Amino acid sequence: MAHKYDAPRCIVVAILAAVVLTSSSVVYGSGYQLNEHGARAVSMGGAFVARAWDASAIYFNPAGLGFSNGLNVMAGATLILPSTTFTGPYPNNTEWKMNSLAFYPPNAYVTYNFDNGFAAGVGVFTPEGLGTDWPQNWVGKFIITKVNIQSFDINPTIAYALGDVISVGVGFDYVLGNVTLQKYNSTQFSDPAGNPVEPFIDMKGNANGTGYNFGVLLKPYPNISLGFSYRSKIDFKVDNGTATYSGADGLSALLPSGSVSTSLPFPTTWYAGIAYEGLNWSVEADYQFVGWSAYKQLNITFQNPGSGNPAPIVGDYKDSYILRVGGEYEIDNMWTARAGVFYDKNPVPDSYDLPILPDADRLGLNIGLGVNLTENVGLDAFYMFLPFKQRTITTSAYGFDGTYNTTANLMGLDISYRL
Amino acid sequence: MKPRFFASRVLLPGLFVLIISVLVVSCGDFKKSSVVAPPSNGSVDFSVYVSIGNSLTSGYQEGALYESAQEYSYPADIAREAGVYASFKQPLMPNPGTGAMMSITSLSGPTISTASPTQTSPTDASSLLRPYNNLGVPGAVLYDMIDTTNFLQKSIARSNPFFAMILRNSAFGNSVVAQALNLHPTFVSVWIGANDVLGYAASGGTVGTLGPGSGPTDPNQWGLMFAGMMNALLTGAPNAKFVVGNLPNVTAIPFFTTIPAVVVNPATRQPILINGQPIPLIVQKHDASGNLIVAQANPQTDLICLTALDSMEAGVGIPASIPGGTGRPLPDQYVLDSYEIAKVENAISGYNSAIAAVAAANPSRVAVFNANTALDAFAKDGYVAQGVDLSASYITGGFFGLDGVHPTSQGYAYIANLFIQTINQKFGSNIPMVAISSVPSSIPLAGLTQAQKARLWQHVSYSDLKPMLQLIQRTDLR
Repeated sequence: MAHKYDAPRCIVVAILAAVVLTSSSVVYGSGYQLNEHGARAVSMGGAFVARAWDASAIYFNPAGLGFSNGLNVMAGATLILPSTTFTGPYPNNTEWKMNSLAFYPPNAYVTYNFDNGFAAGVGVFTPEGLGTDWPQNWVGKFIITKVNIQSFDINPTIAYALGDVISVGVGFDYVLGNVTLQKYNSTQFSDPAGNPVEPFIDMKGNANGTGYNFGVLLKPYPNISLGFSYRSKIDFKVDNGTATYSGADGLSALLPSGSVSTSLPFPTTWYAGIAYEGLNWSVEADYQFVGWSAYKQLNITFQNPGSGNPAPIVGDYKDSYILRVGGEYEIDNMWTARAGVFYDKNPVPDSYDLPILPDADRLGLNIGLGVNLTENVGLDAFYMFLPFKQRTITTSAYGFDGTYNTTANLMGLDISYRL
Repeated sequence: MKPRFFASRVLLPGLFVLIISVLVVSCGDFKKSSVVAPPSNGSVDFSVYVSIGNSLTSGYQEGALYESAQEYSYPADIAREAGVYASFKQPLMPNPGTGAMMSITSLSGPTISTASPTQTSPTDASSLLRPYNNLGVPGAVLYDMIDTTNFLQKSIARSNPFFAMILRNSAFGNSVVAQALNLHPTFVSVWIGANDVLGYAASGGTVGTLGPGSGPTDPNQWGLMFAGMMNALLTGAPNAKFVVGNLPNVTAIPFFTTIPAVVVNPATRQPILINGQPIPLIVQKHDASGNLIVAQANPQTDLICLTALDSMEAGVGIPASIPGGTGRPLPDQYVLDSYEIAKVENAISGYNSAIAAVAAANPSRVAVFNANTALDAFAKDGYVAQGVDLSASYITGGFFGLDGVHPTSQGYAYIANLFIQTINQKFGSNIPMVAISSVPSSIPLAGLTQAQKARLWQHVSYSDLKPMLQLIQRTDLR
């Protein structure tokens, strides 16, 4: 049965390659956070910290590895299709539609339980991402035309379980990726032909950062489990970015130049949850805290500031939370049905809700299906409908009042191999 | 798995969730709904909109009246937002237009140059057989609205080509008001009177409305004239509605606020301090009883005109004890002292009272745009529009052009929005406002070298301002 052993190795290699090569950038969790790191968990509204039953435990709760069996390999991706409009600037009624975007953040995990209490694993996923892409000539072009944050978290993890009652896990996070920011700059001037002088700035740079995470799983009673998982803040730093200008009417040489540096905080987040497990079903409720107050403002610093560094992008975010409920029902040995819902409180104060990252409270409605294709191979799929509350800003610090509407459709698929 | 099982345990719950999703989105906070009422002109009939006034109404910018600036005059902005721009005819003068256009040609200073005077006639000057909708005439005072002097003769006598170019033919009406009424307007905007006081103020109180030695137009006479003009309009267009702008304070414009009345170190751009005290300029000014004397300027109450730069560069007004200072006083024509400011303020408040009185007598038909308080507030706080920062600072503020008096296209758009706000409040309309970030920035930048441009990106301060030659004379203050 040599092929049986070859298959997983091939799958792992292929999947890791796919993960690293695939770009991902998303507006999906509040702020620029992403929480979709496993189809099974997501289909239950992301309420998974107190169960963490599959290899995505590396993200959701590393203590889950302690209760796992043997080798687990899992990989997949999420397809995110957001749609955003801005109506304004207030009191105008002009509707501006963000360019169509599609994101596909991938995830991949490998875990192994040594059957002596210890377990280890490594995961790759996209902890944060953001993409906004407005028409080049839109009314907010002096604020933003395009933002793109891509990140990959490489997350080696170990766990230790004491019997069936308690497990703890801890991981290290190395995050790499890149950041892009494009906008027009307003000036007071017109060129000799009478056209306005509006330099276009394209800033981009590779970024990285490090952090840690840990988790605990407790099973005080056979049917009840409690989970807690903590992920530290990560400073995602760009040290050697570039800025290019166009349309500056020869002014580019005087604009700030040289390498660009900035730092974007990935906020502290922790989950606390409780799950109840029946014979062929389970349900869970989670509270997720997101320490968005870490994002005060984004300072962009040039090696040669020229006439001055760009004004900081003020966020002044507040800490926020997500409430999650979900469960699954094992229909038979082959099929499992899942559903869940979450409510995601946005962290952005009205005055700083900008087209850079228009945010609003969201409701996530999830359904999913799991199927065991063979004894070792399983497929999990989910669909999420993510409507945002309509948000009307009347106190914008950037003179950009108006109404934002966003909905997103998300689909995800993970394939897992258990041995 | 049996199909029936699949249906009952998977498909139905799935459908249930989907239905809930649809319900959630189609109601309550998650529903997409219009927050802003749809555009409407309310009780205002905009079908024939006429604007009357002076250079501010015509769209005059940078010392000239030219098409690409006229397209962004505030009446043009209002007409566009009200949906009647196609029929709102302006005397569009193909670039470079009529006048002597200013541009920044060197940042060593910066040097602001004035092009040789040009004159371009509106392309429809002879084909449009009716008055223009925009009857803003650069240089006009209130009296010019009702004056029936032959337009050509008046242009020659006043050295101002615009009367003849804009009003053209007395067959369309022998005055601005007559031409306005000839169009049978349904809506009229009026913003007139700035030149009745600005001529006096910008000449440091030396040249008033009636020539050298005179003052601002007498407020009582102005009030009578204004009431007469409005009466003619109100009765001549009995169904029309009106918006009338009142007059801003001179301290709202950079012509009077850019140069401090104290000696500034050109290197540091900071006031020179001796014993911790700034050194006032030496100026010709009036004492409390109106006698012209030579004295120290009072930095708190005296204003220095932008036109003083030339003389100051030569050391005039700077005490002899300061290196480069001549000790000679800055002539009266560059100084608007507190005695003169009192006259200016008296005139402005008198004019504004007259405007308020007419509006109060016709509450259902006349709205007043309070430019006085609005521009004071703007001068204090500036304004941020869709990521564009506007302030009342000279050049860098983006609101005022190089003459320090007339707005840029974006500045006019801001004024148009204030007019629109007034109209909406008074007449229950919901005319959209101009998105200022969509209006092109318009201070002309011509022939600069890289190094000069570099300095532009730094702030422009008083010490950078070199001789502006005879840029800003009274005839330019239209």
